Formats: sequence, structure tokens, C-alpha cells
Amino acid sequence: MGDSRPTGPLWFERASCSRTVLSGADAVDLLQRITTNDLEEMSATDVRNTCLIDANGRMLDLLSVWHLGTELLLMGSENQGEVLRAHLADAVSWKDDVQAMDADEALVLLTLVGEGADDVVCHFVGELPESGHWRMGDACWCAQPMHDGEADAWDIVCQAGSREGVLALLARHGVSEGDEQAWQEERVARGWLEGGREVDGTVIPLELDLWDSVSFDKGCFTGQEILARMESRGKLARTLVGLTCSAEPPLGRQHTEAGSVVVTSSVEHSRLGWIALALVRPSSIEGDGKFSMQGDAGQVEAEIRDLPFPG
Amino acid sequence: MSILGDGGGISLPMGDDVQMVEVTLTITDAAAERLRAVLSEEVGDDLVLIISTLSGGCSGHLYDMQVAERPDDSGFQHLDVEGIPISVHNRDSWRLNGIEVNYLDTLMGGGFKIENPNADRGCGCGKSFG
Repeated sequence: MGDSRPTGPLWFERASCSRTVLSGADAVDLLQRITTNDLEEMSATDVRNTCLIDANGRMLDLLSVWHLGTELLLMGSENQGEVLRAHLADAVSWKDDVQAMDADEALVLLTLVGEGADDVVCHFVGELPESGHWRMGDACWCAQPMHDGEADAWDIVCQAGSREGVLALLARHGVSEGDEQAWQEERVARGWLEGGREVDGTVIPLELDLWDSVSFDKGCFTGQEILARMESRGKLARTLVGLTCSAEPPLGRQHTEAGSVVVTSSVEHSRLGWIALALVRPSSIEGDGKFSMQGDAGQVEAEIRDLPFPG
Repeated sequence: MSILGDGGGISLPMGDDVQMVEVTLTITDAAAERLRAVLSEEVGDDLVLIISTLSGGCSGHLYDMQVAERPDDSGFQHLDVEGIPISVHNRDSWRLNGIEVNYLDTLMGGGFKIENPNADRGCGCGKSFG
């Protein structure tokens, strides 16, 4: 694999992640009713993750909600924008004061990752934000990404007209553009979820380890009964894990000696070799965590690993 | 100041794409008696019972009932059922068409109950439907 990869942090443009701006007196209440996390106590500059799920508890979208004072910015996972917006439109009642704007063209989402990313952000905002979102100039904001807080990873949102200026600024601080291969290496190694791969209509948020995106004491929300039952029983049907593989693993459901395994993403990592994200039965982890799958080019040996993979 | 700046973004339709039907509903004698009492206790002109749905609840939607002055919003349908003035918004019409409003006078689990032929499911506490 490539030694050509630039050193230092990389930026990735996340065009397929929806950007939607909600406003109106009932915007928070609407999200409170239809998503999993408690958003009621959010204040300006807070960022919180929440899941849009159906009445069966299945994931429709994973949202990062940025409270902007008089507006909420919702950033969804890849290619789920239409689902989100259809649900929002259907969920508004005659007495809700909620307006929604499709901001896919108006706002640009960049994710900055790699060693030194914290220093770059620190340079822009003066002091590294511990949580929430920070303003970077007149038309640019940053926050830690929707995944678990970790070092050297930031989401940057800017108005489309500021895109070139922001990229020039990043370039001056040694940040290079990353390609799709580099993005998948970062994403899979960190255990970050992608719409259409890990986030789809078959999986329950707790199976994706999204415990911090679910409130169990905020009251009713769509799909709550299913999640509450899973939480009280303390049992998950499956759980998201990392895999190290001897070769390219086949995607999708595999029948293995460790039981049914659903491989959702894989990439050949420059340092870790073939790695993957997969949903496995919890009992698979309790054993030796090793199993084999039939790949296109023969048998693939796999071993379960904790997420994120070691940096 | 909006994050979108001046004029950015595309306004999304919210609740505009509705499947409208002409609503009929029934009220049991017990519910009618209780509703007459509730309406007579309220102060105001031209009071109606507004029955609507809210997104949320375990199964996706919650019932909402409130006594208010007759809305002048043209999006409402106005009914007279057993002498009870009722208003239902067009957005809720297909979800509420055919419901039966009942009233249970019991210490536990009492109050207004709605039987909805359009509901495929309900939650354990009985307050939401989908």
C-alpha cells in the first residue's frame, strides 16, 4: 500500500451527508419526539448525537445536532437525507412551528483527521474546544465529529462561498486533501459509521454502540419501547466489532463457525492490512474471536478486535 | 443571523403533502357525556374539541385532544358528532378517519380512549399508535 500518502492531517469533503437547518419555536420539541437522545436541555454551542429510528427501533439515520441559538443544524449520515426529510415533513403537526431548509448546497461539511488536526483547529479557534461547536471566523464552524470523542478528528462546516478560503487556510497549515481510500482507512480504523453500510434499516442503535445517542429517561419517542426492552434485558442480538483479516473479506452476511456475521465495511489499511467492520453475535466475542469466511479469492481468516483499532 | 447567510438553502415542505379524506368519527355515550361536561366547564366563545395527532410516542404517533376556540384555519374540517363540535386538521384526516372516542370511568387506566381502525400497532402504555 501507498507510501505516497501525505503526512499530516487530511481533509475529506462529506458531500453525501445531509445538512438540514431547522428553525421555529418547536424545532427542538419535534426532534425530541422523534429521535432517541434528550435534546431539550441543549443550549447554544452544544452538539449532541441522536438517532432517527422507526417504530421497530431500526436505524434510519444518525444525526449530529448542532445548536446554533435560533437554529439547529442537523448533519446526517451518508445518503440518508431523503429519509430524514420525509420523516421531518411527516412528523410536523398542524400546530408545530417548525421550518426546515435543505442546506446541502449552501453548507459544506469537511472532516479533518490525522495527527496534528487538533493543533490546526486550536490555531483557528485560539483554544481547543472540549465540547460543542466553535466558530472559526464569520462563516465557518467546527466540532468534534459525530462519533465518540477522540483526538485529531474534527468536523468543519462552512458556507459554500467560504469553501475555497477555508481550504486555502487548511492547506497553509499543512492539511492535505484525502481521497476515498484514505477516508475509508480512517473511518474503518476508527469504527466510524457510514450511512448505507453500518447505518441501515436493519440495525438497532445499541447494536452499533450508540449508547450515548440514546436517552432512557427522557420519556417516549418513536421506537423507544424496543430500545428500553433491550437495555433492561442487558442483551443485544449482535454488536459492532472490528475485524483483522488475512485477505479481502466478503461483504454482507456470512455463515461462519462463530455464527452469523455481517461484514458491513472493509478496506486494505496501509498499516493494519485488511480490516473490516462487522456485526457479530456477542457470543462470538466470548470465544477466541477467530473464524473464517469464504472470500472471492479463497478462505479469509478473521479475528475480532476492539474498536477503534490501535492508532 | 442564520448559519446559511443571506438567502442560502432551499425551503423544505413541512407537512404540506397531506392525504386528505373527509373525516367521520363516532363518540360513545360515555365520551359524549364527559365531553359535554368538559366543554361546559371551559370559558370562551365557539369552543370546539380539536382532535389531532403528534409525531412521537413509542409507535410513531400520539393522540392529542384539546378544547379551544374554533380555529379559522381553512385546513380544518368541522364536525358535529352527538352534539359535540369537533375540529380535525386535514393533515390528520387520514389517520383519524373512522376513529371511535370512548371514555372509561375507572381509577386505573381511565380517561378518553381512542379506537383507531387505521392503526397497525400500539405501544404498551396505549398512548401511541402507528
